[in-house]
Amino acid sequence: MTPALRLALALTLCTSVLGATAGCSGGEPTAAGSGTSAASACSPCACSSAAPAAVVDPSLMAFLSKARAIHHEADLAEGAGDVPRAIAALARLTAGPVPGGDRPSPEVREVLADSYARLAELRSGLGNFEPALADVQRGLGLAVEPTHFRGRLMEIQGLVEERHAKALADGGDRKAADDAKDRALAAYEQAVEIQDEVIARTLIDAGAPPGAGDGGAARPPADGGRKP
Amino acid sequence: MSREPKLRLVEPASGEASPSEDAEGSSRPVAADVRASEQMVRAVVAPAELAQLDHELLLALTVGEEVSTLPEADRRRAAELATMLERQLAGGTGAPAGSGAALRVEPPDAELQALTELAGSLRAACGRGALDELGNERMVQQAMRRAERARPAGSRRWALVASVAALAAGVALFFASFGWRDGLHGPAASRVPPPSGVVAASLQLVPARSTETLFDPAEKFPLRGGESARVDKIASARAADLRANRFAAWGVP
Repeated sequence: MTPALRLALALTLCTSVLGATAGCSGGEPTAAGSGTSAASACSPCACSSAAPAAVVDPSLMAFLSKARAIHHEADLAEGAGDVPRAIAALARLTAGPVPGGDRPSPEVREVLADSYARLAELRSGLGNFEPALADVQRGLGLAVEPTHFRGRLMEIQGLVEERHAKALADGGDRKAADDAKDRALAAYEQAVEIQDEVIARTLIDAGAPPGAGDGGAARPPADGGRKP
Repeated sequence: MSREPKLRLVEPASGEASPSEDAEGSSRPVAADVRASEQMVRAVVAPAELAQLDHELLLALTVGEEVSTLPEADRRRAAELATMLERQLAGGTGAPAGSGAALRVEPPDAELQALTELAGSLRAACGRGALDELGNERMVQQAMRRAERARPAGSRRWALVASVAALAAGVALFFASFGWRDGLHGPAASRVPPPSGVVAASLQLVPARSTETLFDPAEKFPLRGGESARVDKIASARAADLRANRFAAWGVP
């Protein structure tokens, strides 16, 4: 084998490895990749390589603008009593393409998580408890950090279970109703824990010892993540 | 190990005859002509029109001799030879009409040709005579063709290696994209834009980040409602960030 052929073979192997790495989906929440739907975003991956950080760009702004329009459309539909139409509008957002692909930016994940929470609340109001719980799980897969978005999802999960328990009780299934009620209580408790964690972290970031609040948490600094 | 030098001066053969006086005498005019030709070549190097020069001054500057020491015949001959070289360089026949007889010794054609080429090269080196644009382009093209023909086989081998590597990278990305496409849903997913948001680290751009700092941590989100207000707030904040990033990308402080 000539040296040139050996070099070509080595380069081929290197590029193959690099290509496979580039095509792998990652779990790094702040990384950006290609666009894909929200339903498939944040799929787990065995890749451990750090991805480059994303910045605020036109694709992110386009997604946020779309989300804003859809939520206002859902507001109008809800106001008119047309809950199925509101659900259909929100489903267009969650099923559509998102910037960042399988590695959406934090803004995208949080807006989607909030949208899944709204979908779950609307669906559970119509008695569709299983799809509602599935929406909650999708939202929790996006809002993995202890934030108000995750806390609200837990609250919505408690609300869905509570509604489900009531429906089961109305149907005469006391045992299943009690189980659903227990799950609702557990979800509410987790929601409170998350809210406490958010408040405690904010106090630590502000320099105050945890528990030193006077009933209200210190205001966070203005959107301080700018210009790293 | 012997310390004797490997190269030694070659001593002249004892039986070799020295040049006769006749031979030396016959070579003197040729040597004088060659010397005169060399002087003329030096004169041609001067960056000015020979016809406008004071030949005495030129000879004094180039030869380094006093003009008064040069015989009149040499100076006249130098002027004639210079004129001949000028015409030769201009594409003429060389010898001026009616002046061939004035030269006592007509240089051989090969010698004149060599002198002419040397004079032309020296003149070109001195910046005389600009090339026209097309001529320059032609010369560049010819030089590039010669360089292409003379390129060693190693360069072509490297080009082949680079091509193979690029092809392998494309194939790898193609197969890797299957796993990426498996997770796609919806009709628009197949025409999603290329990876965006990733920029050079050298630019100080506003990064994508959590929106939790936009909201009061002490107040949890209401159980029902408020989504539109929240996304309004997020979109407004990120619109300002996008403007800042655009200005940063444009280099506006």
